[in-house]
Amino acid sequence: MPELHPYDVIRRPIVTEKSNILQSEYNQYIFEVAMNANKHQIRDAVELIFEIPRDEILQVRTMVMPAKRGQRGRKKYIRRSQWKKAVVTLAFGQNIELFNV
Amino acid sequence: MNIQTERLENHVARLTVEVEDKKWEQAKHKAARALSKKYRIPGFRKGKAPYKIVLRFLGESSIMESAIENLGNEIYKDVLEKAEIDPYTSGAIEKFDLEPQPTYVFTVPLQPEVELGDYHSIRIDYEVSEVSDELVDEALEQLRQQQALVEDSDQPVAVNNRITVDIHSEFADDAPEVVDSAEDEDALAEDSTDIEGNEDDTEETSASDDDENTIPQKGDNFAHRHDAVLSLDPEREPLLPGFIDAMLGATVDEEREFELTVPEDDEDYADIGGRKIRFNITLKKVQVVTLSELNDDFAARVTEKDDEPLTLLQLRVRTREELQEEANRKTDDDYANKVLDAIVEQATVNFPDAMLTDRIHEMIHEFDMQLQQEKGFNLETYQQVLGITHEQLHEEYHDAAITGLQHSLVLGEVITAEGVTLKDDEVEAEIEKMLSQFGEQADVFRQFFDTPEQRASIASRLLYGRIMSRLAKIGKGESLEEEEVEIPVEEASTASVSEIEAAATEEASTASVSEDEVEEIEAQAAEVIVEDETASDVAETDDEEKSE
Repeated sequence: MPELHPYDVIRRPIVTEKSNILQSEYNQYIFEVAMNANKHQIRDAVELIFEIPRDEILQVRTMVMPAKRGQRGRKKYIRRSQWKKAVVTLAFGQNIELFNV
Repeated sequence: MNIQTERLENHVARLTVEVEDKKWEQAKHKAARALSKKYRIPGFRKGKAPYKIVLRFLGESSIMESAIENLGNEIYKDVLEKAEIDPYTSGAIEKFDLEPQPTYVFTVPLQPEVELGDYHSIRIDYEVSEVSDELVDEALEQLRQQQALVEDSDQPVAVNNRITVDIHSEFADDAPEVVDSAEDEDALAEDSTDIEGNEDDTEETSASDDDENTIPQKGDNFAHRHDAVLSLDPEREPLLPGFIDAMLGATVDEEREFELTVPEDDEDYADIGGRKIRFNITLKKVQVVTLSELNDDFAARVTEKDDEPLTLLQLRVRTREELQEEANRKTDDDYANKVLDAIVEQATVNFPDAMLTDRIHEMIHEFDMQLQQEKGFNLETYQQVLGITHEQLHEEYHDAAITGLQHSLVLGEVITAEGVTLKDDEVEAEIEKMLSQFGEQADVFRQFFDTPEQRASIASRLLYGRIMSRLAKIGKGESLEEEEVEIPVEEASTASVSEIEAAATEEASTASVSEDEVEEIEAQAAEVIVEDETASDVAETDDEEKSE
């Protein structure tokens, strides 16, 4: 299995009210990441893409967001499949100026 | 804030206002917050998106736009206060510069300014109106006509009869010059040409014809009416000259066809002078009009509703008085208007274009209302029929609006300058006076008059009357101290004139009090006293005067 490329690890930043609050209060940045990416890969990707020194990335936490399912009559379907969310905490003073995707 | 004021020529001020950066930033944030409430930004509830997100999502220009507007409105009031400007209506933002400093340029229409000239020095000759004997005769003649006995008859038509006819008429010769093929519309317009005496209408129609400059073709309608009532009075011939001659001797249900030529020098028909018109008239009814003799019986009959019937002589005197009163009032009005005109001429009036436009709109609106009430169609139809646009209508009213504005502004200024005021109880008194005419039903009518709108209109009418009479005094150069001199005029108009004696003395008091006339009045009064002593003599003298 070919290795996951860093640019494929991070899919997109999540810009919501909640992420906005986390960002301004805890310097935490939220991304959607590839389902099969692990925390190490995410740390590497952030280091590479956003040019953040390795020791300034304090913490990476991940979670798998459940799929949104729907049902019409008997037919069940998936409105939005599972996805992995990563919360990256940076040291104070570091920031990511990018949320313009 | 740094404000610069400059005045433009058409009574508009231009304000240049520099705004601090901080204030500008605040305005932008405020605008962004407002915008985020309006738009759904994904990931955020309405109104919760931060400035940066809004900026990215909606773009800077839209934030700027609403920020400019909001901040403009916000500072506008302050600016006006600081620049000490009295606006007529709200101004407009002419332009906005961000660099080097956020700067607004406002244009503000100013409150109209009136500078009265030295209007106290205006002197205009007052022309005393006189009622000629002819006028009295005419009025009596009219009374006779009104009282005339009208009887149906089956005799052939004779002069001075009143006939009811159906009229069909059309142009019988070719148009002298083919300018434009006549359109159906014109035929319709001709159709509405009123036959019976209503001269306004006739003039209007022919005037519009003049404008359009079309010439009716052979076979076009000239006049078309059913059951038209015509008086065969040789002095005021209906339709065209020769009409009476053509109708003479006709009997009921007879149909007559004849041709008449439009006189060349007729003002009403200027554009169709010399044309031949074929008439087809069906006579439906003939009525004989019998005028009553001009004698005491007639006078008694006319005045039988009064307390005691008058003799012919008394009727004459009364008619003369009424005419005199009316003439006096008219000359007074005219005179005051003349003085006002003179004042307007002296005064410098400045008003912004916005006010003029408002006034024009007002006038057009009034015209529209009038149309709807009188003719039953609205302005749009009117425009379509005449084929004019709204802009042309504006043009038409332009000059009238300017003079109207000047007059009303000057009048307002004069009222303030002269310190003419009106108290509430004066309005109350006027209402009472109006109500007294209704006698027992006064209470019913009270509710119609006692509304704020009515009060306002009564008040403005009173005020207008007051200022106008004051203007008249200024024009005559009378002293302004004796405030209440003009009251007798009003009283005289309502006083019942049953006795010659009372009437005569009143006449003296009604006559206006110009210095030039004082002597004249005194002379008159002396005459009256002399005449008074021999009551019958009065009548004779009066009569002699008239026969002269």
